[in-house]
Amino acid sequence: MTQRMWKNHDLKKSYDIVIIGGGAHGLATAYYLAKLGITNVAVLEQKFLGYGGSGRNTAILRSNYRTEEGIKFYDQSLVFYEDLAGELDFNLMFSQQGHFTLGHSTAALSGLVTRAENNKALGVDSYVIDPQEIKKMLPEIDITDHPRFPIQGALYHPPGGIIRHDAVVWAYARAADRKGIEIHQLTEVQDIIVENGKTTGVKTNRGDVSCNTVISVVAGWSSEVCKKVNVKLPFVTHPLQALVTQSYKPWLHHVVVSGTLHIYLSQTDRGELVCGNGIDTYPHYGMSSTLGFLESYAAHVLELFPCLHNVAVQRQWAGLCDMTPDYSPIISPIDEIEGFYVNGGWGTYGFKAAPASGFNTAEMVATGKTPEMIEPFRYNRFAENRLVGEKAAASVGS
Amino acid sequence: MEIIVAIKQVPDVALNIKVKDGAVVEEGLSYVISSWDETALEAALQITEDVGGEVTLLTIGPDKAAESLRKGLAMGAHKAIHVKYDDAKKTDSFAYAKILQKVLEGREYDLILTGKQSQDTDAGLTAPMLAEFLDLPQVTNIIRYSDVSAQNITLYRQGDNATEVLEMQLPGIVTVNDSLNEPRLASMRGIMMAKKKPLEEVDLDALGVSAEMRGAQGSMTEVLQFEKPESRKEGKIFEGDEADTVKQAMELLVSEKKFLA
Amino acid sequence: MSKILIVAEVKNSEIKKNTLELISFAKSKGLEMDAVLCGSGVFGQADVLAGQGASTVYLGDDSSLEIYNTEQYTSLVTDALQQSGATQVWLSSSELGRDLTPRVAARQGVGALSDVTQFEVNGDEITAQRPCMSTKVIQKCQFSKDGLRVISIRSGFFAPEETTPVPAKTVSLSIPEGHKQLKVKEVQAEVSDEVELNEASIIVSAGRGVGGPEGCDFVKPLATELGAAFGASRAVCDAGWLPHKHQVGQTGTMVTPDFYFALGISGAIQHLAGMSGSKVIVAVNKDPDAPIFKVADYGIVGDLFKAVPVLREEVAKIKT
Repeated sequence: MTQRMWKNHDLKKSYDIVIIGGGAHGLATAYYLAKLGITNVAVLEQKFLGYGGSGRNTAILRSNYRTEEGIKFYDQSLVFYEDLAGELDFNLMFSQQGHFTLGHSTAALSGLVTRAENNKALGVDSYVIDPQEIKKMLPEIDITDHPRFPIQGALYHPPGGIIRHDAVVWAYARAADRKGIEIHQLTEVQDIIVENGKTTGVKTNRGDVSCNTVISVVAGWSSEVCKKVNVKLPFVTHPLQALVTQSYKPWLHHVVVSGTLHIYLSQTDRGELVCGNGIDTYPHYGMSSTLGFLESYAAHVLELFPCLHNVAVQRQWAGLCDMTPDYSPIISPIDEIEGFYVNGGWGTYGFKAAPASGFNTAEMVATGKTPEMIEPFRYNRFAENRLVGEKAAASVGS
Repeated sequence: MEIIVAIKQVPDVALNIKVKDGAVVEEGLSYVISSWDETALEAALQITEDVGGEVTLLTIGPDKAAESLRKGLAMGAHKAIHVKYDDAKKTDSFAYAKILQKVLEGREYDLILTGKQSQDTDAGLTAPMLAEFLDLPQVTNIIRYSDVSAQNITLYRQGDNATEVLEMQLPGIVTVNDSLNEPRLASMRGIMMAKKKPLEEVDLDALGVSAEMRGAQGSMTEVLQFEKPESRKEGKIFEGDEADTVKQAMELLVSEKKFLA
Repeated sequence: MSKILIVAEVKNSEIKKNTLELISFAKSKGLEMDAVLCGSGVFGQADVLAGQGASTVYLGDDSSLEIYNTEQYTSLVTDALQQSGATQVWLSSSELGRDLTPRVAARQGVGALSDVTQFEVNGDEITAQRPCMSTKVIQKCQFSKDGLRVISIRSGFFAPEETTPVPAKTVSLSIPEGHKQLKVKEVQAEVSDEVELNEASIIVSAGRGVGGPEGCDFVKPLATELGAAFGASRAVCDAGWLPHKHQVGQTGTMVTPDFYFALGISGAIQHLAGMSGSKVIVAVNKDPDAPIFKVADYGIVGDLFKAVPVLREEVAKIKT
């Protein structure tokens, strides 16, 4: 019998904790719970592991955010990622190749300078460079004044890079499985049972399960899960599209992002260019690819790299992003329902956060106290007007 | 050589197709160019690259079918004709062939290329019917071609037990098998250029296609309902030493299924 | 009064099994029927058709018909149709049938139902089932207007009765011209008495797992010993290990044999669409997660190079 990376189980009648969502965040949460000795846990995934954003993102890691809360949190995650292959005994192909955020206007540059200063103050390696320096590291880029939006500088972030996103999902799954956590694929949570303000279980397509803790870790589907317990959080789900080209010899050795042009790209070890865009402007749960995205991507990427004219597009896809008003996540117990926790609002910036997200969520659930690191991401910050505004650093426009 | 490539926008059949209440569930379908038609387009592009000429895409379909035309233009077709049509569901191959006949009357072409069937109906009727209506020769299911000139093309048709080699004097209609080629991918430049290529919209009223020729009225056959095929009963899986497992399986094959009885 | 005209097909001077199925089915329903038989030197086969129950056999026998061509065959079927007064034309959905069916229908100004796998006849009302969308969906369909019915039917839908030939009432058709724009240059076929895929009751198919042309040679004796047709997946044909005529699947031949042996075939969607209608499927594959095991009645997880010799031994034992 072929050895599997994780086992299949019959669904038990009862667990201590049910985690809804078998993506990087859900599996990381399970793994870190197990590390704390909590193993009577089931991860319930309606499709297959990594079906959602974990398998659809463009695999970029970085920590050069704008706010103190954001920078600290994403930096913790990046530090986790640096050691993760060793910890999980799984080759994650993390390539810390450096990350450019291009600025095409004076205003954009001053925003990048602010980020650089904030990053430096918190010990994150990131600094602003001029077009000539950009050209040295990215010889193919067009820094002339021919494009509509000439490049005026960039925030350069040496520790940023790319990783194999499927491997991250599989590695967490295998590690959680080895520690005794049960992973259940094709198991859809149809309802969450709340009695007298307490979480008591979930109904699934494979039967009912009792538990006193449910953690919703479903990113793009967060509103749908919260609806089951009548919790209204400010998530709005938008599709985000991406594409991958055919393979070419290695030429792009860094991650390149342009907020003004709404695009980002990097080259995988296999030679494909992985390219992403801003979110689609309409809220929607559809994951269809559009020609409009291809057209706008092609137009914009050719402004940066005219040499890509003949590059052929292999495949395109879309994922769902649960955007929040301040472009920061919600990781929080829900006060009204004992035993119900939400980990969501990951928008376009979730994948890079998976280890810190899982680690802190596990800590929060295990101890019943919200760790300082994620205290700023409580859901009541919107009511209390303590936003963690990361739009400038978390998105590429739109 | 002027080549018309007839393409159809169809649901991507690589994805899960659901059926509810006797109809295919629209939600979750993703629309693509029928793969055999993409093969036809690739062949047309290669032929015009060799001997010169232009490739014109032709489709009949709703507004969203324009997306497939623009993808074809991005692959390299020179221009496109979009026959606007919303009655697709009730339209059979016969009616499509009749409408295509109307669309093609008065147009200049040397060759019409299309897939051996479309991925939605898998019927393979439209192209030969159109050939009959236009009084053109047809060669279906080709796996190769050679000796292309302005007047002739040699076609290799996969017949039942042999490859039939035919020389066709143009104009004519040819349908392709997807072993013919591997369709190219659109390049970034191609995607950009596609926006500027001519896309002609044809209105059926203006063309004189009456209501009697469209939809159920123009069709000779109708689909009563769609069903999922009966799923096969779960089989027995044997693992272990082949010397044992094959014997066990063969014994059951004989006892349960009367193999070689 | 309804009447069927059956378009007969011949291979190696024998009526093909699918044709026998069509006639035998019509007879079992008590339907009146004629047949049209085209080819070169095929007149001897008319008696077989008569033995099965064809009232009149319309013969197009000429050296120019040795190789199928659309125009001559369409004219001959049209001629036979007019003389016979049939109200329905039944064809096989072989490659010949796929090419001929729509052209015959269009010449009569009617529609057609192609690739039918099951159908009911009530006078001239036909309700048919046909797979579509890569066999992920079945259409139930019918003719919506009066007029001639033209349908093509996949083989394997009916077990033909064994009958003895009787002297046929034949009508010789005059031989029409071929299309002036088309010239048959040659036919590339190995002379072989191999069983054709769409005729076979047993098929042994080789997939990418055979590893190369030598692998095909390794598997082929099993087919020969079983009297089976030798099939292949697209990967095998595209790699040139076997000619395209062996290809099973939507791109090649759609098959519905009684027994299908898939050896080293993982089961790509196109392949499954082409063979999942087989009555019994036996699969050998190294990968326990291969999609072929989802449709297999007997799935052997293992190495085909070890399995095939055992299969051959077992077949030899069963046969004795």
